[in-house]
Amino acid sequence: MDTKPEIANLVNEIFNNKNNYLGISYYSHFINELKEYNFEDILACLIFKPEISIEDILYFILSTPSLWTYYSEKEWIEIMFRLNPRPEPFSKEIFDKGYVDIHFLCKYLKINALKMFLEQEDFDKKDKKRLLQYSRKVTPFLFMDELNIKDLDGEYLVDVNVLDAVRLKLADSEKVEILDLNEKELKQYIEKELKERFSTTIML
Amino acid sequence: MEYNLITNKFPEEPLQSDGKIYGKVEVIDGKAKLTNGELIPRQPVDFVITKDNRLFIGKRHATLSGSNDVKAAGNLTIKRGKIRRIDNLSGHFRPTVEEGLKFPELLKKQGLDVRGANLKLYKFDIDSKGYVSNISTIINTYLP
Repeated sequence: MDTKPEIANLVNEIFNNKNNYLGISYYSHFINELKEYNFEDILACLIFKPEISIEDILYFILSTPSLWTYYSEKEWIEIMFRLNPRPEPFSKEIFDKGYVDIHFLCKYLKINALKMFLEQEDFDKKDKKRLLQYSRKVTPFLFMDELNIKDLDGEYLVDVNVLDAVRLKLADSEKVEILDLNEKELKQYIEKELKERFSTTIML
Repeated sequence: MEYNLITNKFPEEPLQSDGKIYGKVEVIDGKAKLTNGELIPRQPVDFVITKDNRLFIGKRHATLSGSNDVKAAGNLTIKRGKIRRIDNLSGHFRPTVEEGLKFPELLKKQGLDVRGANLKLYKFDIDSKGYVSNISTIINTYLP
């Protein structure tokens, strides 16, 4: 995954001077500089930096809505493509930031990112299988709960109403489906896709 | 209540380069603070309670514990010094639900006020390599 040196320098500046990233108020100091670059390049750079966790990236996204609220499904699919190839679904760590786009789209925008991903004909079959296996592992974390929603207040993180508006705009496209499933139903959906596409379920 | 140590499932592994200790937590008037004066991040942080009852927060449980076994490991969400969420999410320690149920008491022993905090405990299924292959939510409750 390529990272541009100038973005890497900016990311270093943003993330190296604090150990606690403080939401919109903190990132607002850098927003004009960040807007000079493609959001997907920034994401790729964040994923590349070992000291930045998936939680850091999700909070960064939630703190910089002006970078992505205007995105259509086309841009999100480009991001998905950019983050391929996907990492192995199972490792010593529970979460993998190589799937941060999926976490964000499912959990915060409540978009069925799995379906979007699986429908991309030019995506590698191996990536699709990895995505399904990883998503099955972390299914409980692809949903928001009441504590997550409390943080979406427009001051600390993006306002939940902004997320709702972005979701509705994305859902205007026939290629985008709202994630209207509960945890159990999503697991069943993933199992079905694994079985139909790969004649397998998870090896336990 | 007995507190058996939770084992590091990958004790031989070198510490990850991205591990970071934000600090040791001390409690003043029931509220969590870092002894080094730094602010506690509002986003979820990794935590461990060591064998000698010290509570550390940061990134990567193995770094926080120095690869040693611990009494508790998971994530804490802390807002303005108050615990909002406790869980047992740790790929290196994989605390069982039974072990996780002891976390609130261990945090209370630190002097923390856990009333009203959300306790989320997960069951981990493990594959042949010892990696987590599936996670199920078992407990999702608010502490009295």
